[in-house]
Amino acid sequence: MAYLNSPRLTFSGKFQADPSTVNNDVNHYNNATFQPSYQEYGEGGTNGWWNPDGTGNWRLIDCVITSVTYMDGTTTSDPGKDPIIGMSIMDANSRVAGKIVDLDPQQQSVSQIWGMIVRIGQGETDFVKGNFEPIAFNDIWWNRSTTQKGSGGASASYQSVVTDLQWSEVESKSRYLEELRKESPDRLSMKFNVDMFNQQHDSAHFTIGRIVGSIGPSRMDEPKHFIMGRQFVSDLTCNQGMYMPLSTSVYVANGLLQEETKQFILDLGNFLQTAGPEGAIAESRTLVLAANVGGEAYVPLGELNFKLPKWYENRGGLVKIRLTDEQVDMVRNCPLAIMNQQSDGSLSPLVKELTHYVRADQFVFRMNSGEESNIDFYATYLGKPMVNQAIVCQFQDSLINIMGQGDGTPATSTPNILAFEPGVVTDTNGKATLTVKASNPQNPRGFIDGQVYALWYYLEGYPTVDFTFTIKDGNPVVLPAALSGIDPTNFISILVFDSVKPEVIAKPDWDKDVQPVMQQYANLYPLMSKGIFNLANREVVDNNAKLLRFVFDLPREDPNHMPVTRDLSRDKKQMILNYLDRAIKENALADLSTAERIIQST
Amino acid sequence: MIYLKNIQIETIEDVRKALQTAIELEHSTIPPYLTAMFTLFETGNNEISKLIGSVVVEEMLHLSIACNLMNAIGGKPVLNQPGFIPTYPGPLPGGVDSGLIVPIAKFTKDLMKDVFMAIEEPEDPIKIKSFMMMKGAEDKLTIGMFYDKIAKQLTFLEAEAKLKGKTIFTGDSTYQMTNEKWFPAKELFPIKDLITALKGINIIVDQGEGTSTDPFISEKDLGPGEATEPAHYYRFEEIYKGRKLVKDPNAESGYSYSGDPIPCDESKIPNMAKNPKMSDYPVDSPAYVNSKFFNYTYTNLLNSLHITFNGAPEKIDTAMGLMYSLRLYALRLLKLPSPNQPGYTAGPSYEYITNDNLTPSEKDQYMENKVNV
Repeated sequence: MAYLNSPRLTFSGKFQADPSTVNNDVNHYNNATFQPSYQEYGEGGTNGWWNPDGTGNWRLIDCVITSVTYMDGTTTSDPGKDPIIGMSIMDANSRVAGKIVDLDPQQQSVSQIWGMIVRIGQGETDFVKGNFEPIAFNDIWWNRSTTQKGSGGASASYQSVVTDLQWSEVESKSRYLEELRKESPDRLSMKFNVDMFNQQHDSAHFTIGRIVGSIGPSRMDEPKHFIMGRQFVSDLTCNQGMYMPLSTSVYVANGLLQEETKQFILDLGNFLQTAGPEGAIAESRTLVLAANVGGEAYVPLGELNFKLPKWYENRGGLVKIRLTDEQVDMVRNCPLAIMNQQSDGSLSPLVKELTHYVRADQFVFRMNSGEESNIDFYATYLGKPMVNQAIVCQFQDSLINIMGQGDGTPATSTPNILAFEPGVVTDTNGKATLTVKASNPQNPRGFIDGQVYALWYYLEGYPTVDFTFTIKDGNPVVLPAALSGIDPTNFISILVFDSVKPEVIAKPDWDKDVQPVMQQYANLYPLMSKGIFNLANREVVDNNAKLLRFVFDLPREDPNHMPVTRDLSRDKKQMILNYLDRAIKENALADLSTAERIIQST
Repeated sequence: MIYLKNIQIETIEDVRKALQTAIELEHSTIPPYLTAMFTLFETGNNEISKLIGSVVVEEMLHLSIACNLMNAIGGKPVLNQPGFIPTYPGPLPGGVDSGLIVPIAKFTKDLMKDVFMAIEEPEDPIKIKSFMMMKGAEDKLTIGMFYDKIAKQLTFLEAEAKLKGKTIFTGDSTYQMTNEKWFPAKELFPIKDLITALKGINIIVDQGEGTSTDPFISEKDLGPGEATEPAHYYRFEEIYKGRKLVKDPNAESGYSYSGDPIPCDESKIPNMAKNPKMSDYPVDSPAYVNSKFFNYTYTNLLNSLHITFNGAPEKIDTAMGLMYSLRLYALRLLKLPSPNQPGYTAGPSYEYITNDNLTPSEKDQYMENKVNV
C-alpha cells in the first residue's frame, strides 16, 4: 500500500521553510557569550546564518494536482476526465502554518514538520483534510543539482501519513476521490521531495523551494514513513563528511510491485540529478529496470520514462513499468537493478537493489529521564517481510558529529544513558519493536540542555559491507571513504533532556531557574523576542503569564506550541508552568484582558 | 461621523440582518487601526501604540459580542466570505455616503483626526472643545443609534414572544464564545436572554462612544477597580491633542485635554505607501510574496473566527495564534521597499485569498507545461 499504490495522485508546487537560524550554531546557546551580531544575517558563527528573522513556518504553496492513477492502474492528467486534476494540495486555512524544526544544533539533518494540515480541494472547499503526522526529512542529497550550490542544490524527502481524515460531503464528481475514500477512508500516505531551496534573503523566493510528491492510500498495519517495497541506494563516496553518489550520479529510489495491475511503480523523486535555475532533470543516460536472474544475467523489464518535458512535476517523480505475467514472476522472485544502457545497447548495473533491508519507521525521538520510546523496525527481503530475523541496534558515536555544524564540541553521545536490548527479532509481518529507556544525562553539554544520541542498526547476518564509523583518539572523526549498499542517513536520532530537581520544579526562582531558559529563547528566536514578547524580561513574562501558560502547555503537535523549537524538556516546561501559575496568582495585572496583550506585544 | 442607512428593523430576521451589518462594521475598523498601530512598532511611540491597540481589542470584543448576540437569537454569523472585508480605501459597511473614505495608512495625527475620530464620533460629542453639532437625520443613524434601535427591537420582540410563552433567545447556548484567557468575563459573557443581550449592546456603545455626558467608559461596564478609559473617540483625540483627557472643573464640559503629555515622534514611522494592494507588486518581488503570506494569514483568521462563531467557540485560541502571525508579516512588509514606489515601504493589504491562489501568469505557465499521456 502507501503512496505508490493505487489510487494515488501526484502534485507539484512550492513550499516555504522559514526557520530561525540563530540556533544553527551550538555556541549561540551559550547565554554568557551571546552577541547581538548572532541575530544578524551572515554566514559563520559570528552571525545568525541565512535567516535569523525566521518565523519557523512551514507551508505548502500553489501545489497543484498533476495526475491521478486509478485502482485499475490507469493514469490521467486531463482535468476533463477527472476534475481533481488542477485542484490543489493545501495546508491550513483556519489556523497558523505548520512549523519546521531542527532536533538539535548538533543534529540538523532531521528537520521535522510539525502541525501541518493537509487539504485536498480548491480554495475554501476541501474534499478531504487531515493532520500530517510529524516526521523529519530523510535521504538528504547534498549535491543533487550539477549547477546550484549549497542548499539550493540539495534535495531531501519526507514521507508520513495524514490522519484524522475528514471527508467532505460536497460532491467532487471525481472518480479518483471516490476510489481513494473507498480504499483508504481513515488514513492517507504522503511523500514529497523538496529541492531548489532559496536562501538569498533579498530574493522574492527567499525561504521557498520546489516540492513534488504523491498521495495514496495507507493501511493501518504498514509503516508510516517508508515503503515496504524495493529499495535502491547508490554507492556513495565520503566528501568532507557528506556522502554523495559521486560515481553513479543517481541517489536513492524505491519501488513497488502491483500484482493486480501488473505494474511496477518506481519513485525516482530523489534519484536523478538536476541542472539549472529551474531544476530541470539533467539525466541524459537511458536507464532501464532489470531483473537479476542469476549471476550477472539481467533481463530488462522496461525503460524508465523520465525524459518527457516537466515529467518530474507532472508525474511526481514516479515512473510506471507495465509487466507481462512472466515479468511479474521475475520481479517477485529476483533482485532488481537499475541499469545504464550503453550506446551499443548493452546494459550495465548502475544501482542494484538492496535485497535485504531494514528501516526504523519513526527515527527521531525526544525523551526525558524515565521515559521509554518504542522504535518500530521493519525487515524485508525483495520487499517481502523477513520473519524471525534479528536486528542489531547499537550506539553510534560519530554519526551525530558529522550531521551537525561546528567542530564536534561540545561532545555528543555521552554519557551513555540510553538502555535497550542489543537486538530484537521480527514477527510474521517483518516487524520488531525495540524499547529504549532514557535516564538523566546530567547536563553533559553545559550551556545547552540534554544530550543528543545516534543509534545505528542493521540486519544480523547480512552485513553487506564491512561498515564502521570510528572516532580516532576522540578526534577527528574517521569515516569510511565509500559505502556500497548502505544508506548512511538511516539511523535513529534521540535527544534526551536533562532532569531538574523536584524542589526547583515546584518553586522556581526567576533569576536562577527561569530567566536563563527564557533568555536562551529570546536570543535564539529574535523575531519573537523583538516582535512579540521579550521572554527574557520578567515584567513581560509576568504580565503575559496567562497567555504564556496557555501556549507553553499546548501539545508539541499544535502549531502554536511554545517554544517553536520544541526543545523544552518535560521538567523545564513544568517548572515554567509552575512559575507562571504563581505569577498569575500574584500579579493583579494578569486579570486584564489578554487579547490586549496580543495586539500590543512587547 | 459615520451614519448608517436607516434600515427597517421589525422582525427577528431584520434584527439578524442588522447584527450581520454590525459584525461587518465592527470588523471593518480593525484593519485601518491595526495598520496605524503596526507602523508605530519600534518608533518610540509606545503610548500611542497602546492607545490604538486598546481600541483594536475593544473592536474585537464588540465583534465577539455581536456574534454571540447573533447566535443567541438563532442567527448565523458570517465572517468568511470575500465580501466580508470592505475595500480600502472606501466607505465602511452599512454606511450612507458621508464622504468618509477609510484608507489603510501609516500613523499620522491627521489620520487620527480625519478618519479615526470621524469613525468613532458620537452623536453628540461632549463639547470639550467646540464641535459642530451634527444630528442624525431621519434617513440615517449613528452607530450608537443603530445599536439602540437593535436593542429596542430585541426588547419588543422578546416581550411579544413572552406573551405567547416563547422567547426569541432560541440559539444553541454552546455556541456562545466566552474565554477568560482573552477577554474578562465581565466584558464577554454568554448572551442567553434580554438582560445579557442589552448588557452586551451597552458595552459596545459605551466603549465606542461613551455616554452623552461622560466621555469615560461607564464604570458599571467595567466593574469596580478597573482603570477607566475614555471612549474610542476621545482616545483618538487624546493622541491628536497630545495630552491625556482628564476631569477639569474649570472647563465648561468638566473635562479637558490637560493631562499627561502623549509624546509623538513621527520621524521613525515607516513611510508606508497608502492603500497597498497585492496586485501593486510584481509577482517576483519580496513584497508580493510577503503580502501573499499576510493575506493567507488574514484569510485564515477570518475563517477561524467564522468557525469559532459557528459552533466551535474553543477555536478562538487558534484565531488568536493567527493574530500573532499577522503581526509578524505586517512588520516584515513594513521593512520592505514598495516596488515601483521609490521612497515608500510595502504594507499589509487585508485581501481575501485562498491558499491555492495561483497568479494568472502562474496558472498559464502551469497549463502550458501540462503534458498529457
